[in-house]
Amino acid sequence: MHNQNSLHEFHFDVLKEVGNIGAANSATALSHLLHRRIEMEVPRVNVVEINQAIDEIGGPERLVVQIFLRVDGEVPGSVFFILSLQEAYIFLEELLGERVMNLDRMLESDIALSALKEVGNILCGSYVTALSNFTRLNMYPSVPNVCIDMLGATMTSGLIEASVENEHVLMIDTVLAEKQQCSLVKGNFLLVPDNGALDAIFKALGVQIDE
Amino acid sequence: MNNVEQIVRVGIADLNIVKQPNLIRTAGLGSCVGVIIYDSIHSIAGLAHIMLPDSSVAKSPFNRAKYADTAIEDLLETLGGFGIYKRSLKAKIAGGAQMFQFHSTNDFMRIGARNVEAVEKELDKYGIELVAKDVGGHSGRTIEFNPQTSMLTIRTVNKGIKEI
Repeated sequence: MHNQNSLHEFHFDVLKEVGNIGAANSATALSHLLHRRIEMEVPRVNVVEINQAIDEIGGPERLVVQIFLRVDGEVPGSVFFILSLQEAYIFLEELLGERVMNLDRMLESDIALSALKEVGNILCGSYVTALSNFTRLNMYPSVPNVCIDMLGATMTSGLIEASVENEHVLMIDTVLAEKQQCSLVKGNFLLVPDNGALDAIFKALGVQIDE
Repeated sequence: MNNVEQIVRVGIADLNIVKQPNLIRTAGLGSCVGVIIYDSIHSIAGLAHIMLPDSSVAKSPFNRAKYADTAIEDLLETLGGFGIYKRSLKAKIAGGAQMFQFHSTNDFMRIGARNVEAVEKELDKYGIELVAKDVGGHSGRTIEFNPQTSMLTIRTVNKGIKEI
């Protein structure tokens, strides 16, 4: 069992690359889906306390559309794709051709929720597949869930497994954005490995960890 | 000007106390449970934002405010420091929602309900009367307690504001 304190700069670089590979695949998928040019920022890898993690993405009361799935297999963890409402409306407009989306309509529309789930399926699925191919580790994504609510409420529910034993979680955060129209579509991609899951990634990539 | 109302903010897996005329608040309760233990005579209240039911799963050293058993114990100890008897304490709770609908046998997915059960059990253990609760459902909650009126205001994203 590794300790998060035993990670060095080098390990963070490896994890950034892991985030890069996953998100690059998702960015391609997103670009096909929206017929737009999607760019990604260099992933940020942080070991943070949970309140800090939430503050970095906009604070506990920020209203978000969160697509969340669990990964089982050799690298158990949680994958989140977090969008603001405006961004979700743009997705829905592109996918369903419905222009005037608002919160009430989105919450009541089974088609809208199911379209968001499908977006999550494609994006999170391509993220996990890229990681799995790269590390040759078995990773099985669950069916995605979509949750439209305050960030504090949605994130803590997804982070429970990673935080059962630790006060800190390791978060690989990548921003996908559409650059042409001033980042109209912008989402945070988060991979949060459960306790111990990092060992599997480092081992598969031949990276030493100090005990 | 020492009567200016201030809001004490409590983070996730955190706890604090407040005296009138100030308010105490925690944001974004999902499966977490917000427990308010208060004394209406002295207008003093403590709030804990609890994430998990039981500290026995934790490795030491751990954050005691994260777990129902240790957080409530610490809240009572802090309130006790103000010379308040346990007998005069009452409680209100909110939260414990199920944010995701997984078809899973995984126990973590009903963590909200388990948190509520654990908190109620702890309150019962110390003989603290649970006066009101707003738990379960599928919505996140932001709560604010006023120790002067003993009212708990609960805000959700799509169901508006209510008081208990």
